[in-house]
Amino acid sequence: MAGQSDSMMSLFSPEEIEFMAEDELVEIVPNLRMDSLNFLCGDYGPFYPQLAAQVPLWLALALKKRGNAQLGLLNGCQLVLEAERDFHAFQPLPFHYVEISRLIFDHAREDIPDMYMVRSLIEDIRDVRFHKVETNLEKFTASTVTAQGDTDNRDILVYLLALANVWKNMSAMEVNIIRAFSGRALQAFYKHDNEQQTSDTDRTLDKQPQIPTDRPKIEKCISAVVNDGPAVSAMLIKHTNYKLYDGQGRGPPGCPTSTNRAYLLKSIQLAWNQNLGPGMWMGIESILNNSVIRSPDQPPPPPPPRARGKQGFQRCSRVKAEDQELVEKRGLRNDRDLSSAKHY
Amino acid sequence: MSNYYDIDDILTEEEFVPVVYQKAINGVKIDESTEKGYVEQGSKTELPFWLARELHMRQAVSISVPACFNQKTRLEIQADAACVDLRSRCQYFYEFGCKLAPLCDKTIGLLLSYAFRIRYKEVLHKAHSTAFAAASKFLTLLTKEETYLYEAAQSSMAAFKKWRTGGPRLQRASILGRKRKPAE
Repeated sequence: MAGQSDSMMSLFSPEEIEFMAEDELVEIVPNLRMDSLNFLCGDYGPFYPQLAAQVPLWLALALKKRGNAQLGLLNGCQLVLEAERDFHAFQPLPFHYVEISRLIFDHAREDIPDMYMVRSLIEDIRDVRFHKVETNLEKFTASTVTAQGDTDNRDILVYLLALANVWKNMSAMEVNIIRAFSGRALQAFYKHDNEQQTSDTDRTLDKQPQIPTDRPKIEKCISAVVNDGPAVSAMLIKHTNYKLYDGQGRGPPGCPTSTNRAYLLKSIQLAWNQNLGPGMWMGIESILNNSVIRSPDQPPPPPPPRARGKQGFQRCSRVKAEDQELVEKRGLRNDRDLSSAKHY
Repeated sequence: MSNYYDIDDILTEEEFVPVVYQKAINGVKIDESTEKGYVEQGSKTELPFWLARELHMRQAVSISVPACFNQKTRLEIQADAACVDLRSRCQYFYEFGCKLAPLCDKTIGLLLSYAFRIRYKEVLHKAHSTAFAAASKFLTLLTKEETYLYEAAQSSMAAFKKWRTGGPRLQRASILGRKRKPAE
């Protein structure tokens, strides 16, 4: 497949991130009448001329290319840029803003009023944010290393949360750029820190017999967290911004996001208590997998298949390919519809 | 034993360390030129780390600090860690140090984490901003681990830039480019 990343690395290429970004919902204004489209990833439509509708970006672009729709779009870049410059933290932006803006600039430039201005603003925003990423990377060593200092069980949770706090509101592409680097760096930091600590415990061993009981377990766990540190925290934050229920349906529907976040943390803690060590990681995975995660304005399940890891991604790409085929077929029919509509 | 087949791990253990024999050993020659077929107690030599470690565990030798962790290097690292040419001293500075620290000198651990913390910042700044040509001089100072770190950052940044500037959206299968044989 074109643009596929190296199969040996568990990383995404920018092309793959772009592919995932195409699943985001956008608003379009169609100029044709069309029945609703039933895809594997959900039902969209029916479409009426001049009435706005929500569709995934890939569908919007397909319609746009055929001249069947206009994109109704984002504004207020100037404000975001100013906020981004003024504040230290990352401003909340769409998770896929880099990719979405690129796709729109490529395919739907006439739908944006003063396109050049918007484009340069987005470039500026991206630069400012990346500068923040770098300063954060510089700092996170100090903070994370102290969080890792005591290999007490609970501290790993603290560590995870500290990471999540620092990296709040990072976008997919930004995470992907630093993913390989930060993973390696954290691993190295952890190794040296741990090295130092073992020698410390060796020294204190004479005074009080201290047995590092499940050190390998914890090590493995930390390395799992460390491997996808920022990515995972970004994912956690992203998911907790949606409404989240646990497998037993204990999360009350419609409860505010902060409660949900507390809920997620509680679940992680529970998972952590139940099975120490590497189990915790599996715990988080299973929580995120089993819980019904959906955005507030979306209809109830079946939830769209979210790309999770390499396998999930492949599954998703299959689903989407089938959907796209459907559009093609549908599109052929719609040409005829369109010509008849014109007569009408 | 997750890194049993890791080539870097193997090469790390190939590094030489100075040792002092604690026991006299028969049937071993340190130096081919000597006539004696045994090693006396207290004689000094250099052994690869993997051998020295095994002998150390059997208390046959004691390991002393190798040149790349000596006082001079330490002072240099304290002065400005980012400019020290660690590659020429020991390509696997950090890994080697980690393996060595529990056997001979516990303070190596502190040295390593200090050095890495400083050098990490340097790598971070250079990797995400500088062009490859400008950084090549800096690259010659890095150890293997730092080079990997640098390359990881560099490659993902390069991939992103390539994606952003565009390029062919559709890739053509190589077979389609060929010309057909003209039909006679």
